[in-house]
Amino acid sequence: MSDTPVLEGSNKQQRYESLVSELYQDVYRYAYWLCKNQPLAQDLVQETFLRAWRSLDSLQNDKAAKAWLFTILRRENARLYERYRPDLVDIEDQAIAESDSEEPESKMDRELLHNAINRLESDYREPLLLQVVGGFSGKEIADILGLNNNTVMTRLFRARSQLKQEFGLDTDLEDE
Amino acid sequence: MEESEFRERVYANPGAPDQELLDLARDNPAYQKIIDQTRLMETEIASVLKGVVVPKGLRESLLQIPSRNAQSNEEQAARVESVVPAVDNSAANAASFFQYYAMAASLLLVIGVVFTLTFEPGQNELEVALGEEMINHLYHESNEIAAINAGNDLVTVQWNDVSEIMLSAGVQLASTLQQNSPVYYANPCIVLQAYSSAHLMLRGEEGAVSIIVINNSPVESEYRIQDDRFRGMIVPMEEGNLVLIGEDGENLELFKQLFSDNMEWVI
Repeated sequence: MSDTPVLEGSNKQQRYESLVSELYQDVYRYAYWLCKNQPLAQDLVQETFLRAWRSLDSLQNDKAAKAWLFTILRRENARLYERYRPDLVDIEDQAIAESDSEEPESKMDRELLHNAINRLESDYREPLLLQVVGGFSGKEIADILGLNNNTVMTRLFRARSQLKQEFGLDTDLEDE
Repeated sequence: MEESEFRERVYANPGAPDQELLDLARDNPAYQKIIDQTRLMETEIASVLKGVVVPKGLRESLLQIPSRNAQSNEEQAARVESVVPAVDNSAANAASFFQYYAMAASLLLVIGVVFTLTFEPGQNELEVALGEEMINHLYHESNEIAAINAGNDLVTVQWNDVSEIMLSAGVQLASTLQQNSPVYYANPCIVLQAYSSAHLMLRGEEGAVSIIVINNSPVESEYRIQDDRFRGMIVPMEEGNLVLIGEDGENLELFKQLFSDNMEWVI
């Protein structure tokens, strides 16, 4: 189960403020990796929280709030994709934070890694985003994506397997 | 357990592998190495995915949504039956234009907003829908417009950002605009069923002036749009449409001249 906190407050406004404060960063990061563009990610997050505000009364279980928001965001992104496909990809820009302890000898090149993540097929990248950014379990990811649990686990395996292969880390035990 | 199955299960959830996998690894250095390698890489993956910088002010902006939404609802109610095309001078449009804005016209019916539109001879329903869509779009940016109208602490958008955003909609701006026209807002925007578009805001005599470019089939000829507050014009250009909208009384012709002389459709 993801670590969605119980929303504080008894009235709608308080619940909404708690929702924003607790989850806006994860929602933005998920949006950013979905659309790969900062202004569009901001628009997606604005639209997601606007829809969340309008239908907050329908959220019965506060512990499901993060999955609920991520689902809204996925739908908004799909609508955006239908209407507007910009020719902008700024995934390589300053939106990715610099690590203050970068050691090229011992750490993978971050830029290469996020380019590699970006090149993953969306079928593989999305479960990875939901697991790492969203903190969702396999079952929760399956519910969000409308897949069964085994499919999700297979896709997670393939996502990491591809990343490891790109960096020469997916060695057979016999070779070691 | 076969190595392939072990690897598959570790890769699927390296952050919390099953106890069964941990027990197997305890007695098998090769399996332990798989877990260690995968966890090391997982740290890097998490660092990249969660290392995205969240824009400053986003939380505050999101917290304002309830009040903005309430304001928007009030404005929407006030504008019912108020959006009227001011000038009729267009002929039939290209087929593709009809396709884009047929959806807009349909949507007006679906959402139940009862606009009383004045269809003058030659002005077709789809052009009116485009005009409404443009003016509606402005009300979504009412905070930014209010800030520009107030004129306090305005921040000029970097020219590189302006150029990039306009390029995303297929428009190249001449750099001479940079000296003459500080831009206080620039964003890609979404226009119903249209191709890519971009929205700039400058400041005129009466307040914010919106410049919107839409990379779709040009309308047949220029026409004007208005509601109770805003006045605007839709200008066909080579590869798309230039839309200018400002407060009542704004001299939009100046901005039309400025931009039409200094922009080029490159896509």
